[in-house]
Amino acid sequence: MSEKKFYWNKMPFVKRTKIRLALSAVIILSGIGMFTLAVLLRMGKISGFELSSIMHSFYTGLGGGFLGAGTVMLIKNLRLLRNNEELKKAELKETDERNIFVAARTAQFTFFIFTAALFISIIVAGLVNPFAANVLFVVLVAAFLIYLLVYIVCNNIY
Amino acid sequence: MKSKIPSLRRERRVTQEELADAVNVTRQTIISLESGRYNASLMLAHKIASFFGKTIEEVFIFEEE
Repeated sequence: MSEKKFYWNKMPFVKRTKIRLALSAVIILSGIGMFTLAVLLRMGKISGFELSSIMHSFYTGLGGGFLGAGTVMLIKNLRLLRNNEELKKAELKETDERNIFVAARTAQFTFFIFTAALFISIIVAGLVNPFAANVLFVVLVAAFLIYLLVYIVCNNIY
Repeated sequence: MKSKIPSLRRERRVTQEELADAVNVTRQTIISLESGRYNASLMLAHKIASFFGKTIEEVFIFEEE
């Protein structure tokens, strides 16, 4: 079989887990950074910048979310690297062709539902808030442009 | 796509778990293949057929949808 595969898929699972471990550290650090920056901006410690209360909540929430997700990812990958049995199970779960198929189908349906919901939102928002409708329209166009771009790339790969 | 996996397994006294381990998939994939809810890739069909010492056509029954 000469099926083309991305470098990530050909990589040994242990190496993939180690990369994820490093990535989790980056996510944790980003979370801490975002959280600290939001607090400092809110306190007015950085001159020239002012953060509204809504955006302060948004950035602190996002920072906290990154911190939480990164910690969970770190613990999970550390456990996998320390337990061979668990590592094998995780690899099987990730490389199982039915699981890959289910994930691809899920992404396909999600994109369809997302764009349909976005389209309906544009129509509804156009009646009550034209600015919001414009923003949503840009998001819809961007989604289709990204789809087109990814399609061209995949068409060249396979 | 129908398959003869359940009868071949029974014949050789192989559990779903053992077959799954041999062809590197989860037990859930074997369950889905046996019930016809999921169609195996050419690669997996080849692995399963080789496991039973048969050809793909002897294990899987192709039907035009």
